[in-house]
Amino acid sequence: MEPIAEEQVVESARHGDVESFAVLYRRYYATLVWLAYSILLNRDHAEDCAQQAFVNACENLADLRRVDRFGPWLATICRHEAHQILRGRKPAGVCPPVDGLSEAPPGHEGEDHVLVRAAINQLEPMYREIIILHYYNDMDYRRIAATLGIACHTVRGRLFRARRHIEKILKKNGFSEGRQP
Amino acid sequence: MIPPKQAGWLDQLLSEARPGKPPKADFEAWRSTHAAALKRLKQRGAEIPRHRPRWATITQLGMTAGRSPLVRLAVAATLIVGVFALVSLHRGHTTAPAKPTVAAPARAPVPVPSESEIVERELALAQELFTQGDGRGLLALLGTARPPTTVAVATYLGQIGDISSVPTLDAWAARWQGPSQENPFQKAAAEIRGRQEQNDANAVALQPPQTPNPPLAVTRPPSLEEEQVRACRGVVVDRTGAPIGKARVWAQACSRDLKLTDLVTPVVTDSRGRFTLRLQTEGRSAVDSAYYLLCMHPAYALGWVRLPADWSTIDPGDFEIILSEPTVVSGTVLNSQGGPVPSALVEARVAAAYGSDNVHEYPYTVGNHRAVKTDAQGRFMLADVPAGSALNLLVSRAGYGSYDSRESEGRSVVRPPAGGSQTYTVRAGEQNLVIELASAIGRIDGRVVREDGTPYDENVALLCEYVSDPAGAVFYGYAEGKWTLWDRLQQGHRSPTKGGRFTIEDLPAGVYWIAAADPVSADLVTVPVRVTITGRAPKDRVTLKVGRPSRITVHLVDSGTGRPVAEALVVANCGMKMQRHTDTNGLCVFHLVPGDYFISTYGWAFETTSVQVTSNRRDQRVEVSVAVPPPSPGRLLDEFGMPVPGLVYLVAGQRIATDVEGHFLVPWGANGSVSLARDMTGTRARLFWRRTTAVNGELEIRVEPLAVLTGRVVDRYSRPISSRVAFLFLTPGISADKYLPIVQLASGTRLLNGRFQIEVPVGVPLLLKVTLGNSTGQSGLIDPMPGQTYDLGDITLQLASYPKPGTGLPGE
Repeated sequence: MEPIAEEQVVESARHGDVESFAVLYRRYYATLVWLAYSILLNRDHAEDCAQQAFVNACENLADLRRVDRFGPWLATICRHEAHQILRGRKPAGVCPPVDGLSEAPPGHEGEDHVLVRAAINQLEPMYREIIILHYYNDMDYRRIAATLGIACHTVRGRLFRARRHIEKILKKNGFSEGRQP
Repeated sequence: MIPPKQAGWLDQLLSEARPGKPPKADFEAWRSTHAAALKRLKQRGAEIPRHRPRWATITQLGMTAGRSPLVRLAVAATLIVGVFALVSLHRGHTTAPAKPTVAAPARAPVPVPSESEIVERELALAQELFTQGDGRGLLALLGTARPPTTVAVATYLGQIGDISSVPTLDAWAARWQGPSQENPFQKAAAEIRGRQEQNDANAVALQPPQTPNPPLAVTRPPSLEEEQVRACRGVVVDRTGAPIGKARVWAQACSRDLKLTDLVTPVVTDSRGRFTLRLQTEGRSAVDSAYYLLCMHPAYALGWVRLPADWSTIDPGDFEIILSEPTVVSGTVLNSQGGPVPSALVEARVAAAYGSDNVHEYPYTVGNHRAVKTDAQGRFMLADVPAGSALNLLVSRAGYGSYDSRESEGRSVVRPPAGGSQTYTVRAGEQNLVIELASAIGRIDGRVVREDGTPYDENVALLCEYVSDPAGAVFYGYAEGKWTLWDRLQQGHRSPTKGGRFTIEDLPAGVYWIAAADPVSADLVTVPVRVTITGRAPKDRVTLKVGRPSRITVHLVDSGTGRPVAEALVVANCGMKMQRHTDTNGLCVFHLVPGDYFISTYGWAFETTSVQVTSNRRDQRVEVSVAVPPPSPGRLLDEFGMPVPGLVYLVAGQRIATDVEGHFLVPWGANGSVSLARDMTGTRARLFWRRTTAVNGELEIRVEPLAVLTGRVVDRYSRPISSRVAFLFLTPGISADKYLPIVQLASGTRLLNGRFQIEVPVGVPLLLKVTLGNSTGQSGLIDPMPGQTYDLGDITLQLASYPKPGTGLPGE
C-alpha cells in the first residue's frame, strides 16, 4: 500500500470506518506480534499483546493528529502494552520467561535454531526488534523504518551491528560456519 | 521474503529460526471479541469534523516540509542572510540615497516599456519620494530622470529639499532653455534658499540672549518645530518626597472609547528623579482624548498625572508624579441568587493617590491589560493599584445588569462592609468586596402602531424607565438598536424601527415603563405601558399606540397677587415624566397624547402643587395657582451709606440685579440662609444672613471692600505644595463645626511655592477649606474686616478620611 493511500485509510478509520480499520489491522497485525515478541519473547503473549494494542489503538485513534505517523504510533502502543505485561500487569502464571531458552522449541527444530534464538534473545531490545522484524517478519529496511518511525540508515546500521553481535555470541557458544546447515 | 543483498549462512539461520508459523491476522475473530472497542471507534470518529480546517492542512504541510533537511538548510541560509542584511542596515547603509526599486529581470522576454510609460513610472516614484520627504532620493532621481520628469522633481525638491540640493538645481537652471521666469529649477533653488534664511534667523533668535533685552526673542514668530514639540519636565517622587531614579516615564493618550496610545518612547529618570519628555503637540486635541504622563517603577504601583486639557498651557516645568506602594482590590461578584458570576469584566477608574486631583483619573481597562475577569468562583483581584487611591469599579457581563460603583444605575448593588448604599467609593487595598449583579433575564418585544393599527414607521426614540429600584427611576433610551443613557438620547439619537417593531433584551427583573417619544423634543407620542419582568415571566409583548396629542397649556399664577410665576418647574406625569419651565407670563405648553396626567409645579419660592388632567384630544388650559410669599424689599448701600447698583446672589442659584438706586426685591421670606451681595464693580461685597433685620421693612445691605486671605498650603511633612491647582472653598461658620448654607464660593488657585492669596467678602465669619485631590486642609474660623489682609499661616493637607458609603467625596 502506498503511503498516501495508507494515510487515507487511517483518516477514514479515524472517522469511524470499521473496514478501514480492518485494513490496518491486517496490515499491522503480524508486525505488532513480532514487535511484542521482541519484548515478551513468547508467541502467545505476543499475540495477546498485539490484539490488546489494537484495542487501545481503536479507542484512541480519534486522538491521532498526524495520520502519516500511524505506524510509529501503533508501535509505541504495542511496546507500551508489552512492557505493561512484562511489569506484571498480567496475572501470575502467564509471566513471560526471562530466559530466552525457555521458549519451547517447535517440534522439528534442531539445536542450531535454539542457539540462534538464544543469541537473538541476548541482544539489546533495540537490536532485537530490528532483527526479529527483518528476519521473522520479512520486512525490508524501509518498512521497518516507517513502522518504527526511525531513519532507514539507522535500521541498516542496527541490523548490521545486531548481526555481528549474534555472530559473536554464536561463535562464543561453539557455533561455527562449518556447522551451518 | 526479501533476502539481504549478501545473504550468507547467518541470514539463512536467522530466517529459519522463526518460532512457529507467521501470525495470521484474523480481523473477524478480533472483531467478535472486541466489539466494544469498535463501537468506541465509531462514536469518537463521528465527533471529528469531516473537513479539516484549512489552517490545519497548511500547518501539516509546513511540518511535512520542515522535516526535509533541504528545507531546513534553506531556512537556515535565509536566516543567516537576513541577519547579515539587518546588521549591514544597522551599520548605516540606510543613510545611502534611496535608489529606485528595480524589478528583478524575468526569465521570459519582457516587452520594453515605452517612453511615456517610463515617464509615468518616474513621476510616480518622484511623488512617492516627495510623500516620504526623501530629498536625497529626489536629487538622485533628478540625475537619471527623463526631461519631462525633471520639472516635477524640481518642484518637489523646492518644497522639501535642503541647502545641499541648491548647487545641483543651479546647474540644471543654467541648462534651462525655456523662458527664464518659468525656470522651475531656479524657482526651487530660490525657495530652498529663502527657507534656509528663515531657519537661520530663527536659530539666531533661539540662541541664549547675549544682551539683557534681546528684541528679536520677543517679536519673532515661533518656529513650526517649536510649536509642535513641547518639552515636558518633571520629577518622580515617592510619598515621602524622596526622588525615585530609574523610573520609566512616558506619555499616553486615552480616547473617549478608552483606546490607549503611547505617545513617546519612555525616558528614564535620573538619580534626582527628574525627567524630560518631548511631546509632539501636533494634531493632538484634548477634546477627544485625555493625556497622561505615566510612570512605572518595579518597586511601586503605576503613577500618573493628567496633562492639562489645553496643550498650549503645558507648563514646561515641574510635573510631579508621586509613586505609591502597590496594593490590590479584591472581591467577589455574585448574582441575585448569591451564586458566583464567572468571567465578569472588572474595570476601574482610579483616582490618583495622595497629592493629585480627582480629575487625574486613569482607567484600568482592557486596553492596558489592567482590567481583570472573575474566576469560576466569581473572585477578582485588581493588582498594582496605588496605595491611597480611590476607585470607581465597573463590573459588567453579558446577561447581567452592569455595575458602576460611583453612578449606581439602580440595577445592581454593592454590599460594602458598612452596608446599605447604592453608591460606594472603593479604596485601594480594600478586599472582600461583594458586588451583586442583577441578572438580565428579560426581553420585551413590541411594536409601535398608529391608531388604526398600521405600523408606525417614522423615527421614534423608545424610552424605557426602570422604576423597581428604591433609589429612584433611571432613564434609558433605546436608539439604533442599543440602549443608551437618557442624556445621549437628548443629543439627537434616533431609533429607526422597521415596521414599527422593536426588541429590548437583557433587562434585569423589575418594573418598566415603556413609551415612544419624539426623538427631538423627547415628548411622548404614545401612552406609556407598564411592564413587569420577573424570573417566571421574563418575556412580554407590548403595543405602543401613537395617539394624536392635544395641547395642554399650564398657567401658573400667584394666588395672592394674581401675578404669573416665572421660572417654575412644571412636570406632567403619566408614569413617565415630561417637564417644562414657565416663561415670564407663567405659561408652559405640553403636547400630551390621550391619557390621565398629574401636573405638578415646583419652585423654591412656593409649595409644590399637583392637579390631575385628562388629555382628551382637545386643547386645554390648566390654571394652577400657588401661594408665593411677598418679596422682601432691600437696598444696596456702599460703606458710606450711599446706594450702589449691584447684584444679589441667592442660595438657589438665582441672581437678582438692583436698580440704579440699589433697590431690589428678594422674592422669598427670611429662611436663615446666607446670601452674597456685591456691587457692579466687584470690588465691594458682603455676605449677609437672610434673617438680617429689615430697617423700615427694607433690608439694608452695606457692601464693603473685600478682605484678603493669604497663607501657605503644605503637606503633612510641612513641605509647601507647588505648581498645583488647589480648590479653595469658603464656608461661613458660626463655629468650626457648625456651618450655614451659602452660595458656593470656591476658587481654583494655582499654588506657587505653596502660597495662595484670595479676596473674600466680609460680613460673616468664614472657614477656608483647601482641597487638593483626596487631601484636604482647613483654616481656623476668621471674621474678615473690610480691606484687611489676613495671613492664615500654614494649612496642612491631610489625606481625606475615607468617605462613608453613600456620601460623596469631600468638597462635593
